[in-house]
Amino acid sequence: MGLSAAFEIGSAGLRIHQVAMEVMSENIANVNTPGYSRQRVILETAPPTVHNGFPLGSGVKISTVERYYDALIQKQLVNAETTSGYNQSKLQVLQQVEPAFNELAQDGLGATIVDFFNSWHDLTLNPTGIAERQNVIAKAQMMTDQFHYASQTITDAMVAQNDSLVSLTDEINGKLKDIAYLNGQIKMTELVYGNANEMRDQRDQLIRDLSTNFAVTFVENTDGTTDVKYNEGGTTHNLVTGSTIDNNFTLVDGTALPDPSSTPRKNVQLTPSGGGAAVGITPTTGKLGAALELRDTTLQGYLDDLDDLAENIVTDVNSLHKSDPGVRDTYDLNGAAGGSFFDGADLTSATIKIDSNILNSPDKIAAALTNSKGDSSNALEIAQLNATVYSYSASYKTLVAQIGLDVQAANTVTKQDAAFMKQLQTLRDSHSGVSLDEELAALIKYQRSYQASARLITTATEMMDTIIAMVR
Amino acid sequence: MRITPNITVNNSLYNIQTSRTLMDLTQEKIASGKNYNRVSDDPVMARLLIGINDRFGANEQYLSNIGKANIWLNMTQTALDGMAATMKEIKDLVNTIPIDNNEIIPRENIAYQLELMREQLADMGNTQLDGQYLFAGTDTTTQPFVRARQEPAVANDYRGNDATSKIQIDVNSNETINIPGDSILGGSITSGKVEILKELDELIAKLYAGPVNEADRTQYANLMEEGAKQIQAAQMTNGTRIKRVDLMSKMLNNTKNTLETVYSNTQNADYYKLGVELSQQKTAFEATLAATAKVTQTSLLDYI
Repeated sequence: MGLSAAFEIGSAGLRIHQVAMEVMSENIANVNTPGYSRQRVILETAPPTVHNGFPLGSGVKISTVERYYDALIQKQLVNAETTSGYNQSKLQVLQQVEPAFNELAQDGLGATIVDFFNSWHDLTLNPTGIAERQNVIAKAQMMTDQFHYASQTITDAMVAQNDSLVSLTDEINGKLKDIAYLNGQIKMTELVYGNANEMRDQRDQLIRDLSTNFAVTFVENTDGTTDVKYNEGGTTHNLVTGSTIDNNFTLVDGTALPDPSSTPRKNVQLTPSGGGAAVGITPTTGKLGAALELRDTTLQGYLDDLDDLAENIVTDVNSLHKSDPGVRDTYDLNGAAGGSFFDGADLTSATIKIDSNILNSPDKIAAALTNSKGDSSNALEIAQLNATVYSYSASYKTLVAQIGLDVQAANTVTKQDAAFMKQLQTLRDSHSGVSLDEELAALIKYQRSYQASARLITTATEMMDTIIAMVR
Repeated sequence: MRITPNITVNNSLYNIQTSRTLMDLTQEKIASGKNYNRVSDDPVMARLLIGINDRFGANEQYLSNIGKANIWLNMTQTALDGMAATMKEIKDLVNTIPIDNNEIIPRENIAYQLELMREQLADMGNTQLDGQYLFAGTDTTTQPFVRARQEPAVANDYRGNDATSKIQIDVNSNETINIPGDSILGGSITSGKVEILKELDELIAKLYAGPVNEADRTQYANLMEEGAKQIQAAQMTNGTRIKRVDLMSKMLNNTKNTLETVYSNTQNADYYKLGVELSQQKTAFEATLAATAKVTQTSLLDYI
């Protein structure tokens, strides 16, 4: 072995420590990149050769550039993202609906219901008073306005959820496309050059992003690609296999929404990209699941309760107010038989309104059960519809408490999600995150090694000079 | 565990956020003066508070009903007191009717006085409140009693009805507020009552016609005695109602006080407690900020 071996080892050292510096610089540059896993150069000794009867090493070589990656944490993060996406969406929407039902502020629908029935009490004391009669109409008007407002708030939120499905499915399809593309790239790169660390990180991040929308399952293949699937009711739907997209998320119009001016309910389905029949799915997880559940169950439930309440008030008040000849006669101020107080055809919270005959003629309010102007027994009965058992106020209170409970529950789980996500993220960072201090320390380490290799070459050169001087 | 600067930053952000949320919550309580600002702050408590509010609203309505009914009942009482006093005078006067006396002047004098008193009774029976006749049953827009010299002349009978009107003064508790006039001054609707105005008209006619014998005088004296008892009974009824409503009003006010106390104990913010909490939270927050600033600043970069 001649001096040339020292040159060889020295130059390999220079080259390899330069690569190590490059890996460090990649780490430093990506210190804040989401989903990036720190990389390290794995060095090993070059194969030894036998010199002068001794096996001696021939320097250093790079075994691989590997990334710090924990598949279990990735799986947990993916699951946590799904839960967190679902809860956050739910909380966001419910918090928007809650103020419309904040009875603690004492000026919502509940207060107007009480006011409406109280106005009938005032009428019992002076059934011939036009002011008292007008007050009944005014209070009824305020109550119906509040019904409309509450109903509109819920309906708007439902329409917003329905519309959000379009952007959600677009986003999902985009992500599936990117994953398939990266799968192809990873496979090609790894066939030729070894680990495609950055692309794998990007793909993992995409899967995490995708999982906020619904619960995905993924399987890593030996060729470096990852297949993405979706499970529902025991059936597995392939979404991405290798570099091909199997199914796209599409929307199809379903039943109508309560707001007649909006588009119908959109239902989610999977359409095979190669053509074929679409399969309807109803995700219950992630943002997609939250949007569907809010639209079809939670918000629809609130609206149903509100509609029931409106219908009960309309039906009960009308049944007392409207004269049933021979069975239960009611009389207005002019001695004529009482008509409907509310429009009997409109029974939902969005449409509840005062009968057009009553609206401008307070004398048509039927306060009497006998044909005498001072009789207020019917007004008393109507007033007592609510007062004796607080029936309407009570069922409204239940709805308010239900909304409050839902918001509180969403709030609590969202807080827990945040804590859990933080914990997982810390674990991931602990394993895969870049530490600048470490990188700087390593930088000095490799810088020193680089300098030493350079010195080796200088020394070898000097030795070479000595030998050349000997022969001169 | 390996800690990277990013972990420290994320932890700091999380803790700053948690501290801020807590301080914001305390600040909101102090600023609004309320412990619960949203139903979701505590749905169970909120339900209780809304329930109290409802009770409160109903209570206020009952108190308002009672307030208005009181005016009605007191007007009734005044009218009945007037009627009782007039009846007493009528009774006295009837007893002074000279028996078998042909002298016109004292007879006519008495007859004239009786006429005036009869009109007075009718006027008091026609007492109005806010355009409503108190003693007309529920036919409150019809004048219940006829004056003797009323133009145009109408049949002399009670012209209201015998229906009563009720108001609600508490949960499940109603009170009648009117006394139909026919049970006081009489009328053809209710039998067994002395028709005071009719009997007086007959007596007056008799006095103008000629001398009155003892049997007649005794008969009318007895009738007027009966009539006075009728009015006393009405006074009693009305007085009992005033008492009951008054008692109920006291009870409602008691309930109101209790409800107010419960409400404010639950909902009103305890400023001292919140102030202490806030200062604790502020200290913790400042410490978090200081620690964050110190820890995140240090880097190997500064030493190489």
